[in-house]
Amino acid sequence: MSALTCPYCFATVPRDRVAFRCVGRSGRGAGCAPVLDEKLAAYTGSTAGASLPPVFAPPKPSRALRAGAAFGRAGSRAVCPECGQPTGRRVCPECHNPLPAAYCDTPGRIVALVGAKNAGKSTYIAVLLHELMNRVGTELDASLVACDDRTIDRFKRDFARPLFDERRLLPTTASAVTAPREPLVYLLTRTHVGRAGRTRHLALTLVLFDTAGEDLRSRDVADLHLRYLEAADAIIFLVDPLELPGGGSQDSDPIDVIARVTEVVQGRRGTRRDGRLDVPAAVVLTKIDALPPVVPQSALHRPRGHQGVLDLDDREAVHEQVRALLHERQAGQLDRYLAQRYVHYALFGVSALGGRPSDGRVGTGGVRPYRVEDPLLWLLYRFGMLRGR
Amino acid sequence: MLDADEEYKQRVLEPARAAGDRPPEDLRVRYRLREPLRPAEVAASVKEVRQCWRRARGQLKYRKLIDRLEAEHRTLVPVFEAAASGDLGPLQSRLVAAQASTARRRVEVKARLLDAAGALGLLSPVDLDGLARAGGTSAAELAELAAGCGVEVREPDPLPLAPPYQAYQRVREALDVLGHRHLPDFVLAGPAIGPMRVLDGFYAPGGRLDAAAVTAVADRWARHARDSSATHADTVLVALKVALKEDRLDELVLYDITARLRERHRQRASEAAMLRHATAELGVDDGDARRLIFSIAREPAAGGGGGGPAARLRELIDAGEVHAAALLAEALLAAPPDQGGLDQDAAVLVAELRQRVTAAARLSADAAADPDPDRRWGLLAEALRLVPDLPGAEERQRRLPPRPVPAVRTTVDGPAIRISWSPTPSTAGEIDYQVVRYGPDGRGADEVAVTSEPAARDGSPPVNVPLTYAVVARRGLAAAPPATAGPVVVRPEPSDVEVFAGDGVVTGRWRCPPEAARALVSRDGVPVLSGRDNFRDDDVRNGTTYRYRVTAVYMDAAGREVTTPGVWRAATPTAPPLPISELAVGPDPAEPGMVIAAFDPPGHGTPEIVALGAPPPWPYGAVVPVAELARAGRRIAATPVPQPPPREGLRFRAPTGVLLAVTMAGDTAAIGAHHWHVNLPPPGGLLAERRGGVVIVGFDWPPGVAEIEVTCRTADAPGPDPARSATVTKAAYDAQGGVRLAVPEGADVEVAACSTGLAGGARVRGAAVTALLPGRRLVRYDLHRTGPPWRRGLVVALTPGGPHGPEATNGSVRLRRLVLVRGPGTVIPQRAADGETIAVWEDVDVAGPTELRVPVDPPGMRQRPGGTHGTYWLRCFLDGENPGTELTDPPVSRLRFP
Repeated sequence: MSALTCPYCFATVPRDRVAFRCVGRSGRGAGCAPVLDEKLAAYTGSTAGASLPPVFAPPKPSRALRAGAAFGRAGSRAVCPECGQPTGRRVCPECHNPLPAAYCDTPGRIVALVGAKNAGKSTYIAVLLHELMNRVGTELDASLVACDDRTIDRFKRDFARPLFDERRLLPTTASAVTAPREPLVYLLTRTHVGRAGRTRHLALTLVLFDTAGEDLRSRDVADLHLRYLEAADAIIFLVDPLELPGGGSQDSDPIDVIARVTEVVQGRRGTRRDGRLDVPAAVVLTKIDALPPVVPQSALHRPRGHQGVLDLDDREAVHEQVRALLHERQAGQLDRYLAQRYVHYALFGVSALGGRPSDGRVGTGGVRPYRVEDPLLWLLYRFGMLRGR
Repeated sequence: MLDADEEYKQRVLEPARAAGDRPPEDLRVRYRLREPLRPAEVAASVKEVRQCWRRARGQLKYRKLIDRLEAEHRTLVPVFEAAASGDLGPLQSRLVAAQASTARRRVEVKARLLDAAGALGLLSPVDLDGLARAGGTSAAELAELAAGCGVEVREPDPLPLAPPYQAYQRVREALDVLGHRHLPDFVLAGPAIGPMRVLDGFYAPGGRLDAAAVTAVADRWARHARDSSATHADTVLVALKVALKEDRLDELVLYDITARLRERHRQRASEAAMLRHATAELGVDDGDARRLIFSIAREPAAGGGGGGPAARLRELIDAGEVHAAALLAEALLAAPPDQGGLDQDAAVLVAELRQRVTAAARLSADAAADPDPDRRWGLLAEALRLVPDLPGAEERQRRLPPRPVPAVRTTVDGPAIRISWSPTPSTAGEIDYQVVRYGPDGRGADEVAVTSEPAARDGSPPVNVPLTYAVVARRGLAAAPPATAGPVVVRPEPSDVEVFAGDGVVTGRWRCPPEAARALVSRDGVPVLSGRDNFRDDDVRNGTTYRYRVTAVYMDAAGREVTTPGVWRAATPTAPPLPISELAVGPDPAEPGMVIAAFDPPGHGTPEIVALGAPPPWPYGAVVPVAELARAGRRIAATPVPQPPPREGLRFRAPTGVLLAVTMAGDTAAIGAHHWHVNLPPPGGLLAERRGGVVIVGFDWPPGVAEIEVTCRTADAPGPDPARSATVTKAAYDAQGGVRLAVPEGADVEVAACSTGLAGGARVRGAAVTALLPGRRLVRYDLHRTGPPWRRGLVVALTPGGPHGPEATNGSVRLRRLVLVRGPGTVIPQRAADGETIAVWEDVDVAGPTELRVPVDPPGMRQRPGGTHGTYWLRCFLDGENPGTELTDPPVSRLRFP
């Protein structure tokens, strides 16, 4: 029996131990009354929204099979032992957060996103999600769905409204020490058409922690937040090119942050015999619009080629271009470190806003993202969810 | 009015008072509402009933009830307000609810009634009264209910309290010793007799109780041996004979039976047990047995706990009949001791009653002697508080008037008259004021208002008639002498006075009051010829402001004319405005969102712009009142801006709609040309960037615009090309992160963006903003080896066009200086200086596929400059001046060696 990783608490849960939440009472019908879910309240840090129908352990396999035969696939539904109502609402037995059906049914991939202080993580998250919901989602024929109401609320409140509606730059993320946070969890589902014409749905779980740079230095908070790095199937590192090399403070040195994260992931996953990690790492230089002009024939000046697939030539050209940029800015150490520690890594250059902001506001023309989707396309390609050409 | 009050008291208040001061639940009864309900009648009836309440509250016995009625009325005010305004629904709901409540109450009262009647099925009138008070119903209603339930209401039978034979106790003992149940059993020889009746005379089916029967039993005992039984029998026989002699035998038998039942009663036997004892054991007739037990149960207890003089006195006091209680107490004191004296509680009550009555009488006497009516009213109120039924006190109090109102003022307020007055100095009691209007010579008294406030308003007084107003302060039934004010005369001014200025003429109109004889008009003091309700003044000059006074003239009683102060209006006659014949509206280049309207100045009048939602309803050149224009549209605030002579201009922020040019002159406006304007300010901050074959366009979205049209024009396609234009909404712009249009890289592009929208079913476009993107001549290159293995060479293949295939270019591309560079290591060279120059070509013309050969052996290039073998890069660069020309790299894998 395979196991799942909860995208909220990152606990590894055997599939047959995934718990269920009763559907509760609807109108005058039968069903359990809401009770305070203490585990969920402990996770969110608040009792608000934690008054829900009770969680119950999954039935034994024989009963589950019977319930599955009656109500659907085995393991996807269970009958509440209190009220007898069938339910398909699966939750993590450790933190009681909801586990989407698509995530339980399809092996999801967890993509973690980290970056040093002022690397533009919040802005990148906001724009990437916006692009996946709109232009890039259309191009990839993919849907992006938030896995819980809290993610929906947070995205609207903290990201979409200020950046897109009010065109204000997002403030520097406060440390988790003073402002506890939880990840934004999205399920990116893509319909993949095989060579024989058979379609299947591939899911990628995007777990995005808007982590403050100093949180990765603080051991306590890093332990809290790096748990999700340990569970990650891929990592996106965001690097502010203006901070290269080591131009920033202790919290914002990109190489230090990447090295710290790499050590954590190595500690859990181990390495191959050559000492390298098998986890794909995408290193993204943000704010490339702020860099001086590079050679005119650079691939960074051109859009991606083929639509709906990964243009491998373009990918390689951008990688080499960014690599040359790192060496030119005396940050070749970063490239060498990545080559020594990761089997698969790729370099990217993106601009989330598409122009320089001024006075704390998005510049003229609004948000015009450029190549922000490149890292995700590469990861989809690595996971076999996107063809390359 | 008073008859109606009495009727209301008798039909409503008295029953409610009898029901324990409980207001009748049926609002029809309470407010004297009649079916079918009509809003006006409901409002009038409620008003009358409330006035009746206020009057009845002067009587102390109704005060508690009226207070309850008023308190409940406050909760009903919204219901009656709704009813008065025509919505009878809430009132109907209340009536239905009251009916249901009455039905529930009847059920409850019936249950109480049956409980009280118990197994005997009897109730006394006192019981009935108590139940009626407790249940909030009338005694008559309850009696009817009792009859329906089979409960008999009757007074308890007077049973002998004292034995008619003094030695009855010894007789009782004798009977007990002899084994007889009672005296009839002794006389008539027991079991043979049937159910006997002892009330209203003795009767038994088995025999008669008379002298013969007594003689017979005496003879029988005479033949009996003389023993103790005979002695006991003699005791009984003596009692019987004495009773016979005094003709009190029936009474003795009644007392005997009663005494036995009283004994069971004192032993707390239930009514059912007593009834069973009386009928089964004593052999009493069932009816008499019930009456006996009923009467015994209502006899005053020995300790006075449940009845007796004290209870009655308390009952009277609680009912507010203190004086009656005092009289009863005196009667009880005067009664002989053997008829039952006063117990301790009664004695305390009597003492209290005496004190209260004495104090009340003293207060009443003081009131009679006091000359001040307010103090008298207070003393009597105090006396009535002690003894509410003090004879004559309440009536005397109700006839004490307050002090009169000191002063009354009247003020003419348009067609109405406001009457105000100083409150009466009297503060005792509830005082209200009656305002009465009198006509000339005091004729025709009409009540204007009854209020507790010191002001009132006569909304429709007779016009042009001297009026006098009297204000009477009232307290209870007594009224103070009236205070008067007047005479005052209401003479309304002309109404709806309007004055219109024209070209050398001023006209006016108004409504003349019907009572007025005529109207007068004057212009700055000079009389103007006028009719009853209009005038026309031609003796005016344009541009001068005139003030007109319009007055009404009335005839007074003596036949003299009286003129009102009049109504003032001003008017400025002007020459007629001339319309604006042509109007041009365009955006103000100095400020987005502002427009400039240019026109030839009119010959006369002030040009203005009016915004309308639709084309103007007036024809061109029409002259309309400004007020009519204001109703149809909105005048736009504009500032003059200079225009090339002779044109004039107005600058303003224009809304979408029709802009009408009008010429104002005085109160009129000339309708000029109009222009359908769509508010389409241009986008701000246009940005256009080439990203390969795509142009990314960004701009700041102008407020209030629904769509923006973006167009790319090239030299080869200067006209509109649907493939290179897009119309986007703001939502699409935000979702797509700008506007992306595919454009050939080699072509010069003019990017234009303008606001667009639909007006009158046609698409209209605002002013466009543009940006120019110069074209780039692209040359794609590739590297490949050539020649046999022993003589390898390198070829640089040049092709005009971008990375994704050939692209149309205008003629050949000249590369001034093309450099092939070899860069060692793993990092791709970024410029020519980053590596070793292998080959240089100058002035290379690329009109089609062109190959340049490199005279070096590629394997030799594996030798790094340092002398070691390893990875190296080959890459071409344009060196020097190559304006507008760019190279395109082949895939990276073809640049990396080996």
